[in-house]
Amino acid sequence: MTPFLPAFSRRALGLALIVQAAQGGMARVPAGTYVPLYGTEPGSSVSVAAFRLDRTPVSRRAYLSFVSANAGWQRGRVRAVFADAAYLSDWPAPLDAGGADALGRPVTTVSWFAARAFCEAQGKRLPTIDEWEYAAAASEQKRDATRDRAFRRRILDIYSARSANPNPDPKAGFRNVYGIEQMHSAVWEWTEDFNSILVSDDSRQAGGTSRHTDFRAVCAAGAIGASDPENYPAFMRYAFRAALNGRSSVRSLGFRCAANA
Amino acid sequence: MRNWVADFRTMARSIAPLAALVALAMTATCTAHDSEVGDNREGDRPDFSVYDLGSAWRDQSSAPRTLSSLKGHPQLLALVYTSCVSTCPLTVSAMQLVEAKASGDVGFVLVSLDPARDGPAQLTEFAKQHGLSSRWTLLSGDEKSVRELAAVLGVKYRRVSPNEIDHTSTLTVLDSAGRTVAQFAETDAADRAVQALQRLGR
Repeated sequence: MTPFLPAFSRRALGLALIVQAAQGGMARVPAGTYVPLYGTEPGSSVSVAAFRLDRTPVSRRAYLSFVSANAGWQRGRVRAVFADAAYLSDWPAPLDAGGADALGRPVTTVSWFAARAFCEAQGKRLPTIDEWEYAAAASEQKRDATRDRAFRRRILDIYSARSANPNPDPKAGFRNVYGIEQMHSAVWEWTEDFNSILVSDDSRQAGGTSRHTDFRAVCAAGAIGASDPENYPAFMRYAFRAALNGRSSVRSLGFRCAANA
Repeated sequence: MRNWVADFRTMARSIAPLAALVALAMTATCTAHDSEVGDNREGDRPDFSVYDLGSAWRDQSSAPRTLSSLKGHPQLLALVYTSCVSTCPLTVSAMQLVEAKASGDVGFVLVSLDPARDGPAQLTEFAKQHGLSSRWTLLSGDEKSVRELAAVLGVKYRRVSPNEIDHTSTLTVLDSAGRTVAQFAETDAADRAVQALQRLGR
């Protein structure tokens, strides 16, 4: 469509498209491959199709308007099977998410069921682990910065700062090369298939009887079968996911939605 | 590195009871672990019931079923799939051991992790092969229903090849209203499941 435009115009057009996508609240992430921390075979890469991802985590403001329109998801009304007792417990009242500051912060203390329902109501869905990790591997400049030691160090520092402060500055962190913000700096985030992480021991790769377990079951299991044992930030995310069930409502856990490209 | 581990632990404490699990995974501290996972969620909402999942299923006789049709007596439930050759047969025999020992009106439920392949005919065949009694219900739903049930029960699973699904072997004891009374990670914990069921029978 643009063969006659000089290169700089094409770049400008690309930029305009990115800005347009950003205005819609979502950024497009092109197809590619990445190596998951726990693949079906250690070190094997996975193809990720192009998709769109919310530029920022879902805010309390957005979630408040969702529960206002969907009474079944209000605190005190939600079915117990969909959320544990902590659900939205950090809100002053079921239809009060706090003041202007609080409204701008990512919503947390929401279960996986609730996060899915929110995304479905927007015609979206939760990202898969592969999609989330693939997008989160990007720095400001590079699509895959996971092998970059300085980048890892930075993510660890961000995680530490986050745990020290229950209400991190929403403007902290960075916007990655796709135009997606706060993937590391704000909160942990739900994924559709959070409950798909199993760590297998070596017998499986050796072709023996497979015996699978998860983080909880065997001591030091986390490092076994990992594609990159030095990727501490990824370990932290996977360990966190492994401790959750679909009802878990946790103060440091929010979400953002995805959609097919 | 020690710093972020400490920080992570601080954060983890604030999300108890997940803290111990997370800290265990993060620091690789070796601690003897209990084979009983989960808990009866004391302090959690008393109105909790697995049967409130509004999902739709079919049983081995092809009849449409809701989970709430399992209400009325205790159930021992596991997620398996019929073409599974490693852990699932062990899970089924552990449940049969429970059936031999547990007194009272107890049901046994197998939910397929591979609903596309495990239609009613396949489930019937599986029940026949394993000599399952009339107390057993075998269920097949859609992918979404399976993922939701697994998410509530804390069961992890993932397809690793066209023919193979990795999954945790968890036995769940449900009371007559669908509350999770006990969960067991290892199938050799059958005796403990029997005890939990007998406590309900009293």
